[in-house]
Amino acid sequence: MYEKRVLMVLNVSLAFMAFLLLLAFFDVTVPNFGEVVYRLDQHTPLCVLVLPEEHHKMSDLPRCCLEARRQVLCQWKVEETVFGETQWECRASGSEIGYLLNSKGYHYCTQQPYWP
Amino acid sequence: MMTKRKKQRDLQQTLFIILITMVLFLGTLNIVKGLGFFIPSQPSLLVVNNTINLEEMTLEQKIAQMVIVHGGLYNLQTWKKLQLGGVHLFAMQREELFRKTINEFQKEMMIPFFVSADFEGCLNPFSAFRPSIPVREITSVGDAFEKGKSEGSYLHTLGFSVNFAPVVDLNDQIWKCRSFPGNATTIGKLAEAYTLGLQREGIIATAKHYPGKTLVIRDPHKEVVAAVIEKSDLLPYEKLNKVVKGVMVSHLIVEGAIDSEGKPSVAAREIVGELKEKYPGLIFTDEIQMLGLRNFYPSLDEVYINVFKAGNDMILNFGEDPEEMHRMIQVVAEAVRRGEISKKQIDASVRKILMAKGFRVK
Repeated sequence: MYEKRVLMVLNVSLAFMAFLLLLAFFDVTVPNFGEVVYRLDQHTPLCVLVLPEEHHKMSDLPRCCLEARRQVLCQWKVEETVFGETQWECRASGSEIGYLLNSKGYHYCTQQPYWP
Repeated sequence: MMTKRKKQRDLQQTLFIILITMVLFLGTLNIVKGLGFFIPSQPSLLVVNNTINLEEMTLEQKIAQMVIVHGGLYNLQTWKKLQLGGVHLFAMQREELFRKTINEFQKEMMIPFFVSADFEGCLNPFSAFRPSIPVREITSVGDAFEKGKSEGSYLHTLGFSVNFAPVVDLNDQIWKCRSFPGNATTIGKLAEAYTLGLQREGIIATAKHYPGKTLVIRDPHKEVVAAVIEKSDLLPYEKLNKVVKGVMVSHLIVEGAIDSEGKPSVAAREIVGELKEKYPGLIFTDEIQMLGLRNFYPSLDEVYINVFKAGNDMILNFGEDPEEMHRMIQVVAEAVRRGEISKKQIDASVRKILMAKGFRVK
């Protein structure tokens, strides 16, 4: 009895996965994880440009995303800035310039076509 | 009762095997598709005595030569298969990674990729191992030339061929370090010296972002990104016209000294066409996946068609999806076939690109 239930659960999960893979193959897009998180997050997207002597809020979020993408990596790092709390830092080591993003801003960036 | 249960279990087991096979099969298909396996190969190009005959290139090959993509190694085979014009590299942690990536891309290519970077000074993809002086600290023509020469030599050693610098926007309000200091005349002079130094080392310099005012803080409440261009914004370009081998056009909607007629500059014949009349070098678009441009048109197809139609020679598209890149080439090829984009214009751009890569073109 127990084995039959396990198999049923597995089969339903596999059928769901097969369905998603079929959709992906025919380029039918379903909201990805980043998009879901972005939509559920009620904060305002925030991008802070970090310069050697000041922090500067970037209101042009798409440009911020492209510039952040050009850095070596983005990592989870919570920082308190004058513009609000950020959770992600994108920076190349040795660079004077970096980008701080809150989760909403980061998940917005991950939906852009140039973000792999 | 026992037989019925056994039958049900057997059914579930059979279904499990079928479903897991399907998942594995579809998963493999998606991976193979993602690697660009279903994108058809282009015919091999014949290069005789360093000469390429344009007539022997397919329309798709010509359009592909006009595209610069992000050079991620995960897309290596697809970008090579599509015979694209160039790859742009973002920051990396070690120098060897740049060398390795460039070597992998150039290996066995009949027409080499342009390899480009944004090595401006304060925006420095090599910051992890090679510091660079921000251009805002450069005040003399001699220093600007030396900076260009030393950075050009370094880029050449790594295998780069194009640098998207110098920035000649008059006022960098955002980063405050990407433009040379001074007024339009000084910026023009310093940018000219930097360009001469860079190009002496065999690197194509690209003055950006035409026609100016790109690094100005925008009103976040305004959806349309527009600016009023003054004569002084165009001065550095007038100074550089005879020297610089590339100019990059921005997405701004402009009016004033130059008017894009309500369209983004990069997609406006009024801007790109006028620039082409005065300037014989390569015209690059800024990255076309930027939301400002994408939101202006109802579909991506229209973005693709309009940036080609405007007369740009090289289109920067950092989208990472190989299928979408292939689709863009198909969409533009169809527009050429139905006469919406002139074939003569495509040929002229490809001729310029191939000549800049060092080929003779018939």
